[in-house]
Amino acid sequence: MTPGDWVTRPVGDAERRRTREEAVRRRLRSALGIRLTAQVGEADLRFVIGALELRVVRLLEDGSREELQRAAAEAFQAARVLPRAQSPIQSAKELVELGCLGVLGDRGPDVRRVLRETEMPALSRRRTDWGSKVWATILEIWLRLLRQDGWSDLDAVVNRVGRLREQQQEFEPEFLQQAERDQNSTPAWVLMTDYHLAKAAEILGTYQAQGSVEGRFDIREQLEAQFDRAIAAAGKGGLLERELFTRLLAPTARTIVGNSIWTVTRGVNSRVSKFVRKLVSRDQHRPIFEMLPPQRRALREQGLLGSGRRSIVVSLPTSSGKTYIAIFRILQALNQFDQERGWIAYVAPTRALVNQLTLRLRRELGRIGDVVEKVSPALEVDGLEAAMLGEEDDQRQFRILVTTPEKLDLMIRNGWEQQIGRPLTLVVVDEAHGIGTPVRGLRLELLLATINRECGHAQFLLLTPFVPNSAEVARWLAPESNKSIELSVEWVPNDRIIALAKPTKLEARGSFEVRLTTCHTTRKTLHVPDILELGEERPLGLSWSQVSTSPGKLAAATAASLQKRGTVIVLVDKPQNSWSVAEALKASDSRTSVLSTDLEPILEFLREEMGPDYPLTSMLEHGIGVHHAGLSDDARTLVEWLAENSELKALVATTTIAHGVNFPVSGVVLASYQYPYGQDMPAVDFWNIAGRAGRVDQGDLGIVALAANNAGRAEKIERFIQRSVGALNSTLIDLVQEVAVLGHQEGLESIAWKPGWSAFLQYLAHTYRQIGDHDQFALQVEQVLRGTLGFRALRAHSAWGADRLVELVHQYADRIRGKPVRLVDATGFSWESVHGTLARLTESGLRSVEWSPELFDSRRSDLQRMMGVLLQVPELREQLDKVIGSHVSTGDTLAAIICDWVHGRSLSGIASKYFADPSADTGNRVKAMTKCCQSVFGRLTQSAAWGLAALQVLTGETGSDDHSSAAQPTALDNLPARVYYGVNSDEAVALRLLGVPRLAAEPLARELKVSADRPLHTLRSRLDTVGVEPWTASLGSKGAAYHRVWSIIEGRI
Amino acid sequence: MRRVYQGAAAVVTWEGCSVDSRAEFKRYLRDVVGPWTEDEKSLFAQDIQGLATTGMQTEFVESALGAAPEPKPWEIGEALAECVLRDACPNVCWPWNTVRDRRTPQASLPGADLVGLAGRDGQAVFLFGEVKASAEARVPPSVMTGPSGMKSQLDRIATRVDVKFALLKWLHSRCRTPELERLFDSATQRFLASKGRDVLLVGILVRDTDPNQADLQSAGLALSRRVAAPGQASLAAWYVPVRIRDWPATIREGAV
Repeated sequence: MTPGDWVTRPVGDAERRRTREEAVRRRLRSALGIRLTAQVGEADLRFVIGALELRVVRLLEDGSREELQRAAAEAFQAARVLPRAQSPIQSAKELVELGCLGVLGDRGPDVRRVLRETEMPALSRRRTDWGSKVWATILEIWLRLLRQDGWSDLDAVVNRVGRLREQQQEFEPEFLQQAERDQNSTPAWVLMTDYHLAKAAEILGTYQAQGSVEGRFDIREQLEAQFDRAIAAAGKGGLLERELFTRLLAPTARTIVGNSIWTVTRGVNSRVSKFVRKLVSRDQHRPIFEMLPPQRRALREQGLLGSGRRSIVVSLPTSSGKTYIAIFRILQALNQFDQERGWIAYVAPTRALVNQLTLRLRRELGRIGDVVEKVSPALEVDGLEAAMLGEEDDQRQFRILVTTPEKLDLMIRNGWEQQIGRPLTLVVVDEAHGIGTPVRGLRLELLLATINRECGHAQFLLLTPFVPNSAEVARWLAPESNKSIELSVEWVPNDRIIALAKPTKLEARGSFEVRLTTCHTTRKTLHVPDILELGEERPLGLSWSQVSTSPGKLAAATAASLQKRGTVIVLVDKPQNSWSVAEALKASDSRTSVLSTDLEPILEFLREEMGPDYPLTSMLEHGIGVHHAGLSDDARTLVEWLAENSELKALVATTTIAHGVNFPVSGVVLASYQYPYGQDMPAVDFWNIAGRAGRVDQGDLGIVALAANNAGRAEKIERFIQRSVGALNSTLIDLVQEVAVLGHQEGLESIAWKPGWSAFLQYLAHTYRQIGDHDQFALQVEQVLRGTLGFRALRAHSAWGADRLVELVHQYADRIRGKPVRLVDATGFSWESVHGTLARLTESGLRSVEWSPELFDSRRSDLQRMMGVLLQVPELREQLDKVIGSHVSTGDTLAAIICDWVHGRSLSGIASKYFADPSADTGNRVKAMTKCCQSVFGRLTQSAAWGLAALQVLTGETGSDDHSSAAQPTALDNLPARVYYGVNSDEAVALRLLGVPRLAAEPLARELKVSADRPLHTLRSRLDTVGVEPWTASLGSKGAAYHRVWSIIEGRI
Repeated sequence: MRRVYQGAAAVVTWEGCSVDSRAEFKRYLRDVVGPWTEDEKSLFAQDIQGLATTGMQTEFVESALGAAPEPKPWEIGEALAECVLRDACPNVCWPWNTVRDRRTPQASLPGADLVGLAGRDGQAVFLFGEVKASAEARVPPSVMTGPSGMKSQLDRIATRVDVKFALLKWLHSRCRTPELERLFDSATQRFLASKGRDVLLVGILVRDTDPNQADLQSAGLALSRRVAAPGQASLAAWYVPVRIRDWPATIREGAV
């Protein structure tokens, strides 16, 4: 029996569960503003809470740290719902005690949230009685230390203690003389206790601010001395309350010291110290004094800082501060290879995340002088990027490069590490569970395998949500030096409920209300047995027949009932379904009467970009956002920004929103738990999305509701929620199943057209080329394959599959022997595609075509033929086919769209010309715009730019394989970039790289007389300093709106 | 001591006892109770040194502590109660000298004069008590009634769960030996399993007047309506042969 069991056993599990439920009930009541009858009386509740607190006291003496933490967390979760005392002093004392329980229970972020949301009790310092004055000050400063709301709290702690010292002479003599006259020594003991508590607060506050106190670092010892004396004085004075208070405060202060960013990062290296000083500095909008529990555990307790391990997988829940974990690891790697000027690759799956991470890392690391750059996801390195990558000036050269896995793959395979001339020392993979997704996952896996094989200094940090086999993944990249840090299960950034939203028919005709029932889940979500009646009759004016037949309508009704708490995301399965849900939500609100200063320019920009009648603008005027692949990149970024800045009441989005976007939302309502083609969302994705509800610094409870409009659906959803997260497996294992159906005469080349196999064959071709000797490759096949995560598992579980694969790889090596396989690396195509494309280029008379900007103009016929060739390339075909809607072999339409795109035709113009039904009404125009954006941003720009870059390589090809690196980019290499960015000059490409919206890039480039030969960083500084004038000079009245929008997109606001 | 009256109602018992030998009592006061009241507070030099590390002035605090008077009769009463209960009831255990370390009456969460553990049925229960000393001729004396009288104070301990939990936490930090910890855990189990009812409440009234069962009867009856099984309450009135106001002098004699 542990010490804590002496308390919990007699109370009983049933009582504790009832208490937990009652606490959840009360929190839900207050969070949702609904009626919920208490099921546990006040006296019973207080009794169990008293017992739980007693357990904490018991464990403080002789419990394990984990047991104490669990006990304190349980007590905190229950005690937080108790009503506060009337008296400000008593209320403040209770809040401090509650805060102590929270800190001891590792619920620091909750403590800060509770204290920030609770008004500071009116502890007027005008109290005339010195004893009361001192006590009020003590309570206030400890509340501030627990709250840590920026520098103002820490400053106030030091100031208040200073003022106590000043006022002591004035007030203390009379106060104590009276006590002496009363022959009462108690007030003297009280003061003595309180003075020690004041000093302890001052020590702690100073440490949090500076990382040391009077040049000393023995903070725990300094604090202990003060607390010991305070306890002794309270004991001698018979001050029961003060003694208990101090006994709780002492371990709390110790814990705060342990959680301090100074303690966590102490003694790592000077770069880390410099960064920490910046994080807590006064010019920070939100200085960081304390690390979140997962950050602390990862960095210090699990040894991420100071670890020499080469491969680390950190499994963290959403919103638990993983970027900081990555930053500290980056700082360590930068320091480790400072002399070599090593660089770090940070890969993220989407363009939006790449942009977001670049801005964030630039903001964080730029302040200590480490240059952060991004390269576009376009599968070619344009001239401007090449110049940036080759920068030789120490002060200007990048140290951190953010990009997508595909782009990094292209760079590594084409020898960019050597061209940069500095070693790649760390690869950070955000959302690394993407390894398990078909095609892209395999590419990522093979990229890591390639880096591991070829980049001698490379280390790895993989960031994932919870996956059960993270240790195995960590072992894969460095069997001798790895670490898996699992923090997902024990800690959640914010309490949340997962609930079914069901419509309940009411008596009046067509009437209904939405009711929530919470679900038991495998995660630490909250549960109450009650039915939560959201209370609004016919929300959004919808009828029973509408919501009972449409999960989308039900989701809208649920969101309408929840949105008064803060922004709600409504998830729909596909873009087309977003507009009707948004329309339903819009109906509930009158137009926002006063548009914010930021919304006006955004609306002006969107009208310009998407057309004046595009519904997104009117939705935004009502505080309703829409976010999916059917919007332009800029539009999505702006909608995200509005959500981040709490300008939206609801955001209707597809599941693409889940990838790491930093939204402060109070709730997520899922109209669907399936992806567009009807397959269930994987559990890992669901929990990733659920993690968006309720943020570390936002709101009390996150609500995740799934629309269950009938019993059958409810049952399916419950089953769906119960699924556990599967292991992170390589898709190579599934892929290998396909070789079973190959005939004896068939080799891997016969399936090279399949995207997954293309990636695999490219990996083989690249490795073949790197080894540079056919016989050596043959000897090393098994070893090469073992470099992948998938083959290791295959060897362990399917000897037949592994043997067959090895055999096929041998055959494939024979096939590519003597071929110019460097073209595989240079194009990103399989050898089979390269071979076929070369033949088709010859057939089309394009083999020696001239590359010039006229391709988008007078030589459009050449572009048409090029697109016709690209339509035959398996790696591109699917995406390009989708743009034109059917499989046609001519590239005429694609070429026409590309020309209009490059020449700056508006999106609405492109939509109506190429994607609209001729009998277009408004609804069809929306469909056309959705399809246009999906096609242009999701498919065309990426695939066409990639394809053109590949054709540039192939048309310059002599046929020999000289084993040299790909040719250096030239100015003409910017042609694919023009397609990618939708502009028709290198100068405009440069501005696009810096985030300038497409329609502004050309005129602004002319106005600023941009030279594409100048390094990007000089242009960036110039854009930063010129202000709005050149924008208005070049764009007229809309210039100001574009400038503002650019500032938002580039994170300058 | 000689029992002179007794009574009971529900789980509450009360009795009056008279001390016959004046010399014996004086000796007990002087030799047993006296040392128990010796005030460690006089040893505060170290505390003042510690206080100097806070950056606050120490002068007035030092002066206030230095002027601490000799124990007052009510403090001696509490010490007497503890000593008698300890000596006469082998099943009662005081982990700490609650007189030297008494709970302050000014606190917003008032404690109890007596906090300890009492053996019962091979296990332990928490013992919380109040002590009053009165030379008043009135029966029952006013220390038994009114908002700060024994009746109210015991009533408060019996009914206020926050007070009991505070006392438990306070006592816990004083149960340092394995034996005391065992007793504490045992009492905790009983306390929690009974939803805070299974404790022993003790009220001691020390009188220098003639015995009169009306001193305790109304308090006992009132308490019987507030204390529920398995909790128990026990009231005692001790009628002593030395006037209360002379106690400090008697103890002082012992100190000489």
